[in-house]
Amino acid sequence: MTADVRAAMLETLIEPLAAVGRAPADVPDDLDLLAEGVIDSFGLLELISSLEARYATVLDFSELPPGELTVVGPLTRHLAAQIEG
Amino acid sequence: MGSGVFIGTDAILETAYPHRLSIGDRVVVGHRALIIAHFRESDSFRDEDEPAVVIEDDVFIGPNVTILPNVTIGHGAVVTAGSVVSQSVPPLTMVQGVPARPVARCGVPLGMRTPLKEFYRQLRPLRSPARPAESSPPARARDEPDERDG
Repeated sequence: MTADVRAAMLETLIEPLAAVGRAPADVPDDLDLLAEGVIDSFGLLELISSLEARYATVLDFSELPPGELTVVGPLTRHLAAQIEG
Repeated sequence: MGSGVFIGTDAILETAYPHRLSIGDRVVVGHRALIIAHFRESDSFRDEDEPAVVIEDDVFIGPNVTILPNVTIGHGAVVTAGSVVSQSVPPLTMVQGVPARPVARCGVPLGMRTPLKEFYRQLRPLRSPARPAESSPPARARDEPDERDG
C-alpha cells in the first residue's frame, strides 16, 4: 500500500516536481516538499483532496508530527496507514 | 486597531475614513494589501457609523490582497495572496481567488507565532469529493453584538 500511495502522491505532483527539476523516480524519502518548493498550502490541499478522492476516505494528520507533514517518506507512510485504516 | 498587529510594507488601510475600518488583535496585513472601507467620496460618513470593514482577531491577510467595503473577516481566517475579498469570510476559513472563495478550514490561526507546518497540518480542504459537505460557521452578522473590544 505504501508504494501505491507514494506513486499516487508523486503522480499528483508531477508538474510541481518538474518545475524544480525532479521526476517522481528521483524523489528521495527525505525530500521536504515544502522546503523544496514543490508544494505550498494549496499544493497540500490539492494533494489531500486528490488522495481522498482516489481512496474514498477522509485523511487525518493529527498524529503526524508537524515537522514530517511535507516530508515524502513519513507523509507516505502516514497516508498509507490512514488509507489502510 | 488592536494590539500585536503587523502591517506590511506599502499596505494601504482606508485613508479617507479610517473609522470605518476595525482591526482586531494579532492581525497580520501583508505587503501591499489594500483595504477599502468606502466606495464613493460623495457618500457621507459619520464618525459614529459602524465600521464597514471588520477584521477580527488573529486574521492573516496575505500580500497584495484587496478587501472591499461591507465585509467582516472572521477571527483566525486566512486570505491568500492576491485575493479580492468582496464577501464576509467565516472564522477560521481560508479564502482564495478573485472574488475570494472558501477553500479550506483552518484548525488554528496563521499567526506570527504559529509554525507554518502546524498550520498546514490542520488545514482541511472544503471541496474533497470524499468529504461530506462541511458547514462553515456563518460570518458574524453586521448587526450582531461584537464580543471583541477591537
